[in-house]
Amino acid sequence: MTLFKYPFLPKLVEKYSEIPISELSAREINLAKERVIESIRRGLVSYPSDYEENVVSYILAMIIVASIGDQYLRRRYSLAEAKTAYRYLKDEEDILEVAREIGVDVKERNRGSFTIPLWEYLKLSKTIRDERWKLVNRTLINGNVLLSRREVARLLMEKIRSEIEEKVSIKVENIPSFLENWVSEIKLELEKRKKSEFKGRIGGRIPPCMIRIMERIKSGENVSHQERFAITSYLIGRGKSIEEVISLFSSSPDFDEKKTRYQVLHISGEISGKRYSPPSCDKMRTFGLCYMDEGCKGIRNPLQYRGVKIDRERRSKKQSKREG
Amino acid sequence: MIGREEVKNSQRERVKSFLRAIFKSYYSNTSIDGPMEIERREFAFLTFDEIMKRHISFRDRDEMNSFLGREGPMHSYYSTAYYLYPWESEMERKGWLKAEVVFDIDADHLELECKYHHDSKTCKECGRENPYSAERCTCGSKSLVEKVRICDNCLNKAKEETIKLIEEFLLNDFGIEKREIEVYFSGRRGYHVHVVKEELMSLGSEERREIVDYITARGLNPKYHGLRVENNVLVGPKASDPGWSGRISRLVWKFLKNSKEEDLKKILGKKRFEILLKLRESGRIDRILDGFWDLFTGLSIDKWCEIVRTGGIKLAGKTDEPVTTDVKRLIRLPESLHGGTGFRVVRVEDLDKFDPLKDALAFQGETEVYVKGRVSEFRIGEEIFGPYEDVEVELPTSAAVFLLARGDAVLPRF
Repeated sequence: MTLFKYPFLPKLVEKYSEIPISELSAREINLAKERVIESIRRGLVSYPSDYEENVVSYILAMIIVASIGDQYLRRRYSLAEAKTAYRYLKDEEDILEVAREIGVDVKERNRGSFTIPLWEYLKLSKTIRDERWKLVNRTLINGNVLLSRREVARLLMEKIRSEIEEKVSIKVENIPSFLENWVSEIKLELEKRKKSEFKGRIGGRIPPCMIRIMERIKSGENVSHQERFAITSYLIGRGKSIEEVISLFSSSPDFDEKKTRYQVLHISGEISGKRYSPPSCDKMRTFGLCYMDEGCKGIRNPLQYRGVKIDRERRSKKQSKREG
Repeated sequence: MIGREEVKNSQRERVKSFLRAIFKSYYSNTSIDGPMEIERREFAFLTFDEIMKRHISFRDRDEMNSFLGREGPMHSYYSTAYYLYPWESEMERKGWLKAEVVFDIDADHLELECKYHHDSKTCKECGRENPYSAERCTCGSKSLVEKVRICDNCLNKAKEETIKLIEEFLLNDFGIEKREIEVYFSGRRGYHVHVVKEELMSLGSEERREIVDYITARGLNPKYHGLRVENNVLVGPKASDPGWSGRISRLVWKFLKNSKEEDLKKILGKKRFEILLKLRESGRIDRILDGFWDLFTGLSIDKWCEIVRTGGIKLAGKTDEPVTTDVKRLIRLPESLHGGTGFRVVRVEDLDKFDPLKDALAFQGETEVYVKGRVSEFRIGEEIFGPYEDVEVELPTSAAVFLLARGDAVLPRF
């Protein structure tokens, strides 16, 4: 069966989950560790050519990710698995079969054209932010959305991602002792990745504390009142429009447009007449929201980050010109 | 000596207690069904003393009905959402389970001309009535309260939009079945459409927003509906295509065929406008309906998109967005009374035949009122009343309540 290459199919997972841990080979355990590490490094995984090894390492990898309990890793790992699956799915002849196995109601209309019920489409496409995925830009026939094979694959990828993320979010209390060594190795890898990702962005002109809040919001996490206040006052201070700020919050799980609009308008001074500026760096530190980097030297408020950064960039450009 | 202010206040008090009493008697003599799974819903009421009572829950219909009979609230609402603990006052503790999908079509949002004729703004400071277009009162005050009136035009436009929403979007495009749709008159000048379909009830606000955007054509881009250049020929959707594709073809055709000369000249330019006149004459303009869009040489796709946007939005549906996207919304309780009109929030079985000014009336008998200031003609049932000006009249109670509720009349003998 060609479908066996997909390790996340419930019937495979069910079957191989029953293998007692004591019967796992060192090779399989190692494959699982590599799977997690690869997901951290490349944002993709490689399927072992032996499908049993693929399934077993996938199951073990999930246990590892769940037991580490790190939100960033959970998201990165589930996305990596889903992306890898997409690479196969987009040319999958039996895509209907895969869809059925993972519980997505896809039907074939003609050769190469498929349909999916409206509500299923809405749930699966909501994380995809592209004009062409807006419902108004799709063809709807009697409650069904028309899709190409590739688009079906894209939606299945979303389904796979969210299911895996849900699974690895289960709390694992006791980490199997033989995994403990691997766990610390993976944690190290994870820290490296987080740092470099952070660094990559520090090139930008947004202070790290604000980047962090925005990322948390975008990934659908619930952020505290202080974080909301900080990011809103920062963005307003940077001259962003009310709409832009509201749209940032729209991915919050408890998004309430009316409430958000009121709060944003309040902070912007349109209601109260008093425009709030973002909390000082001191205050951000007190709240535990400061994630200082080199660009933060000599500033007292997150709003100064950009100006100082631009100044420094100019100076270093001049210098390199002089030197060059 | 009693001051003028006090007279006004006691007049208002009398009207309030009259309305409360008549609402109470309506509720005491009517058994309201209430929403499905009534024990999972939150209720909210605004009393005639303008006190908002929220987070109320009822075990069953009887409990709700006896509450209504006892309180005679001015406005009654229930949550479209189902909760585990509807009585909890904090949202997070209510335990949201699911929510009906509701559409609100109200003449207020249709930007109708007639509202400039019959609506007005009352000044909070001096009580003077100003035209609807006023931004400040003649006394200079800016605190104006909109005073809404109803006419057949508003009611018909709202009805047309509701029919369009149901026929074109809900039944056709969304494939919802007729038996899953409930329509209610809102009690004033609009309709609420409730969709009770299990699969849709679990959708969150983001997904519901996509539904609203679909209906209102927000974010519509014709490029995703087949408008493209193929072998140097512009082709596009045809009238018979499903969903927005067909709608785009139909609306552009309609726009080019019927729009005002100056609108067309503005978007097409003078030369192309002359070509258009010939195309209209020869009937070649109908080719758009078959998917051949090459009417004018050299008109770019972007320009066509602009035409779709300008002419097209007219074919879009209209619905008040927050009502649909808010999954914790309160909405008027079916069969309850609207405190601003005294009309019933009544279930509509046949929209075509429904006449709110007849079918939503709640009271029998006659009542005497004193009309304050000028009130223009209005219809209740088959009869036309007014115009009145500072006069005592005997009216059918429904008409009397209608005037009392919106503050156009007081009780006589003062």
